[in-house]
Amino acid sequence: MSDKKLTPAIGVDVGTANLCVCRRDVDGNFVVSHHRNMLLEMDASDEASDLLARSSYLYLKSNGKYYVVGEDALKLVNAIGHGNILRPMQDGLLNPNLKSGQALMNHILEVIVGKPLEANEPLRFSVPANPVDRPETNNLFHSMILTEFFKGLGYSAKPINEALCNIYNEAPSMVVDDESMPLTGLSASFGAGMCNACLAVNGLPTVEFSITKSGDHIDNQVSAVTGERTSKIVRVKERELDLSNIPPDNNVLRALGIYYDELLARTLNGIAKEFTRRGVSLDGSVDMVICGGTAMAKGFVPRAKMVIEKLDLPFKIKDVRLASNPFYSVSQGACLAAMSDWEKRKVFSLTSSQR
Amino acid sequence: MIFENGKAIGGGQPQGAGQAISPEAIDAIARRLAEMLAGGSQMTLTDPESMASVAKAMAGQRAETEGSFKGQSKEVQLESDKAKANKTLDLLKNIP
Repeated sequence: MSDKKLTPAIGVDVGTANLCVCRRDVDGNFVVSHHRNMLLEMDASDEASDLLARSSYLYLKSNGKYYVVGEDALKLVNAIGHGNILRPMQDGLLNPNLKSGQALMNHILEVIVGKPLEANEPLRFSVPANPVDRPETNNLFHSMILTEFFKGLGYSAKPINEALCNIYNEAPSMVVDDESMPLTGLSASFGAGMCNACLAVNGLPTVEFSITKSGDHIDNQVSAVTGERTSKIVRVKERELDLSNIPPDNNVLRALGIYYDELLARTLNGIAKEFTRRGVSLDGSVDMVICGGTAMAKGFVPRAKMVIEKLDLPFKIKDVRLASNPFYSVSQGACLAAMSDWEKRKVFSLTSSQR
Repeated sequence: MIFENGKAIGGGQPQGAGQAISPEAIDAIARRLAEMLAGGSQMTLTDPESMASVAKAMAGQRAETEGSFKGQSKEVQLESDKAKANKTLDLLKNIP
């Protein structure tokens, strides 16, 4: 990874749209890398072989098909104007409709995570909470497969809630009677598949849940109403969208603005409803920290604040802010959790050897 | 203090070094785990052992591959608040 020596502990954000990996070097800097969690399938024709041989695209060949991987899949489909992007994950979990998806994602993960720095190096990977709007779905099988997969690579792997990682990375606190409660706050991670929410108190996740239909839902809806490919919508969303300044003559940007508003209203009201249903109350007011690729559109947080001000939440929110690094916040928090596992293991080994 | 359905489940005291996690908080975690395990599954498998064996088999799947994919994801060293991260690490010592 980096030129500097790395601490043996790794955080992996296994996202619907992106796979992010994070370690810390010995100086305490986070060292991160990422791949888009997507593939472009091509028949293994002479033309395709020729194209791939002449290009610098990342690809792999499996069962008689070529798969262009990650960012290059998106670039190529935009360049040639057709083709379907395959997604190994859907709505935050492994995509049950893509039979080869698990094997292909395993390959991508294996390459970007690499070998452990030492035997049984601690690894924490993010998992979503169970969705409240899809009660028939849960994350158990997804967690088990990924745990086994990372163990197979030689890591000591454990899942960790995605929104909790953001709490660990951002370290919000709540003040009650002049006393500060660290790692206490509300986290909302807006990914491609889901919005994950977690209320943590003293670093413990007290309430966590997810709501489906996040960034991918926006892309699909905008694609449906404008007739543009979702790959183009993604490019426009990431490069041009400013939610505080939507030009009235651009249909794609207007539709993106409309569906972002729909997302914010639906998910934030859903969060308020779920906390109310669970009867949660707090002595003090908390910070809300937002992260995730979908939250990186310019103007997202001011738009979110407008919705939050009108919410009927069972506790007070002091401030709403974007994570210092919204794209990598989950992988960084997972890395800190893995480092903590490593520290605890060292202490345990020391005390065991002294007995 | 945090309450769920009128019952205190955690919070109240900041957890300093060496301080144990409250039994209420442990109960809350156990309850959530039980909820997760008892929740409806998208799998038809319900026996945990069968599920674990299927998970193991799927986790072992690798695409038989050839090609140029060498995982050339670019690594970036991020500016970060080291003191904040170290403080979090210190706090995590008390969390299982």
